[in-house]
Amino acid sequence: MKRFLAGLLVFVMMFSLVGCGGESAAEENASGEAEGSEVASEEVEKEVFNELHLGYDLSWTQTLDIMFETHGETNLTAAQIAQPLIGQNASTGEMYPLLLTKMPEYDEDSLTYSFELRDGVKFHDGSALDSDDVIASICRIYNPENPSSWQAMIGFDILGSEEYSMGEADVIEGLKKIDNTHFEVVSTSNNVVFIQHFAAPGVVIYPSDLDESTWGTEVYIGTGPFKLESFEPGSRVVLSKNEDYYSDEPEIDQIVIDHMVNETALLEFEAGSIDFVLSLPDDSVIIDTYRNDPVFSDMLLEFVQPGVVALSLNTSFEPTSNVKVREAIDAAINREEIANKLFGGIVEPAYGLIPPGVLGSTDDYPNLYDPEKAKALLEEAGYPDGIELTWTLGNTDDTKIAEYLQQDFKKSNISINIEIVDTAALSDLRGSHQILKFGWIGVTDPSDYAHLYSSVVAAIISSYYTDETTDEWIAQGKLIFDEAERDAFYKDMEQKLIKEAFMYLPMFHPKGYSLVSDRLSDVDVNDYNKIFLNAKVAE
Amino acid sequence: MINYIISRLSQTIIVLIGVTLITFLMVNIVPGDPVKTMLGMRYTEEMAQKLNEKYGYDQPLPQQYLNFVKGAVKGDFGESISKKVDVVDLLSNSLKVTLKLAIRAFIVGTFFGVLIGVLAAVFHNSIFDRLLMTTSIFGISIPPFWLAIILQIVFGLYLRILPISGIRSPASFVLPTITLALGVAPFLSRVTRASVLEVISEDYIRTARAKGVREFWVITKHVLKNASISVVTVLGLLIKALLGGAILVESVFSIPGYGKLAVEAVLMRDIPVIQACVVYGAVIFVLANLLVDIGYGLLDPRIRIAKGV
Repeated sequence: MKRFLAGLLVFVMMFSLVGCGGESAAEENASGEAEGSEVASEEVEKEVFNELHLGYDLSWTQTLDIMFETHGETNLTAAQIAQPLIGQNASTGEMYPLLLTKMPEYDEDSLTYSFELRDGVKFHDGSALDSDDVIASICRIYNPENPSSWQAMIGFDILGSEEYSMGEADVIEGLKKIDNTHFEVVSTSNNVVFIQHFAAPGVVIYPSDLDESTWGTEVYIGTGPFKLESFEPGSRVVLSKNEDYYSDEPEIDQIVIDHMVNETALLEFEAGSIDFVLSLPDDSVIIDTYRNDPVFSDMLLEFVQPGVVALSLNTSFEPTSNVKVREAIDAAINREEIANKLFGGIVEPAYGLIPPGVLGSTDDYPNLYDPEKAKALLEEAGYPDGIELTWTLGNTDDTKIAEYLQQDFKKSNISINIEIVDTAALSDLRGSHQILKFGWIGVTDPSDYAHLYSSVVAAIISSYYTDETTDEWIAQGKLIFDEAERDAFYKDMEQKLIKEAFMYLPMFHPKGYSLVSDRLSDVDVNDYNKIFLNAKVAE
Repeated sequence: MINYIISRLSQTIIVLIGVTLITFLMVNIVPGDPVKTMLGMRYTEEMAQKLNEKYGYDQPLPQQYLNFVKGAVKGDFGESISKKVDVVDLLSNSLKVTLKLAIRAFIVGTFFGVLIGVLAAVFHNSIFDRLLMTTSIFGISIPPFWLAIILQIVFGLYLRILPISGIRSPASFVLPTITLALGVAPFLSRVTRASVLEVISEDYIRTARAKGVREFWVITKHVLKNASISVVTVLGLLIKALLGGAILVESVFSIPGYGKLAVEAVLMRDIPVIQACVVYGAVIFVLANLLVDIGYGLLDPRIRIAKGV
């Protein structure tokens, strides 16, 4: 009997080991937080009335320091904590003062923007926001020792920023403090998009005295509607309401964000464990499933996601160096069928890089699909028997477009070999690709898409199309303030580079889809700075 | 025993040098520049040059390897290129998670694998035996990622009795543990069955029965102990398989573990993380092999004396 009981005890202990470590895991996580985090509060024991539970891929969120992170998920998380000077609606492009009393005033003669900080804005540690914090934050982006990822995005449009980033100057000449709430920024040119730099997700304002050794991992404070309670890199972020927020106090008390891959997030959403799925995969089967589901159809949210997916053809060697060959490939792409059949209507056909609704958009072209024309053009180009091309894809790329075109291109005497390599090898092979698919999600300003025509980007995406006027053209576009003039200018650019030179072959403009549970309301998916500011969670 | 352990551990250093050198050479030979991969569309020559200087990739390869060794000896593997955080912190957090999962799966998988194997052998050629072995074939054949998704849907979505993902609660370990254990138990059950069948027909077992020893003690005390050598050998292999299998399970259950970290590091050519993963992985494998060898010695005194354990 004793032996039987001993055996039974061993049996029970073995099964309890499956579960008991979970508690110790939670304890260890808590102690790990306590060891490393200066701002992690005690495990929340106060009553939480409204908690929002989110789930998305946090595997790349090893730091919340948005100046060194460009992943969308990290952007969304960090935007609740730290803010830029100016906010922007992603679908309309409309900018508004966030940390400012009003949009900056501009003096065209001196190329100077005058900023006035809003009164009463405090960081989460209680210190007041002032001009020194703004200047220090912008300098941090151009730090010569450790430049921010956003430096390449916003360029050197601030006077003296390039010299500072090279270590040739101790200060950025174009940043001038007037007093604690007033400062000036001098541009290098009369640049219409200059002010957008201050709305960029990574150009946020931090306290000037931050500790670099712990910033973003153990300590992360800003002026946002939510403050950081705890952060487990790659695993979980907990935010709590900023009760001293300078604007409307958030309705939600706490936001818990757990790491989960997209497919798992969908299951969790269906099970009711999370309230919001940021972005559904580009799969019409999944989207149609939710669209047609009586329970989830009302929870599916479609939003504008300005962007484009296009092909880049290498113009540095035959046959794609020949403009007629590029035109032939363009004529072989059935954009309407790709959008409506292959993607089931969840994307829109694209005939230019600039998406609909943005100045310069050229989407009013008829369907140019014409396999016979493609064959004739190839014959004219000296390829009467057609051409054979290699299309290189990354292992994380969706292959369905390539497979679809591989079949459809046969009607145009174009034979495609699909080659799949891993992401790193894909980067390394740049320059030798014949065909490369690329995508760009941008803002609602045409210059954001025009930069894809620059010689630098053309080299990155293996186009190598060079026209000595293109870079000047791109710079010229930023100097035009009149909207009608800008519209005509970028239409002209797209006409010449897309419709005549076939530098890139646009395919489609993606749409964005999120899932928002019925207990969550007033979510603004078009503005990360405000996405959960007014959101409410029903009990 | 102590001398044997020290001797085995000292061999670990040679293993680590070999493994890291081979990994270093492979990572530098295969296509894929880590800085280009990290910068992506934000690539400029100036940024690339700064980053290459920062991470030491502008230096000759032998110097790069020496720098790595100097750092590794001090426990410093540098900063992750893609995630910009200290590699040791990154790896420790992920390894803790994976080891918790792997240990649970190991215990559950071993228990059921051995139990099923023994029962199948004891009831050899019966319907029960055939049923158990057929089930083990299914277990070996089922892809772990498919099983993981099915378990999520059934227990997490439809029945709602277990969490679908994460490792936030004791219950959240159940589904990943079952998935991983099912990669271990079927194979182990077949090995155990074969091993037990071999021993159960031995003369000393017949003697024990003739002496009137109860069948339970014949099996557990005499048969199992002698059949364990083969089982322990397989267990050593399965420890390594568990760590490998954890990659798929971690992806499906969104567990931020070692496997996922290693795969992401390879895809991004995050050299500091790759090298650290290799070092940590090699140490785990060496320790696993050492445990297996010690296990042999404990089970069979003849092996203990011969090996000097």
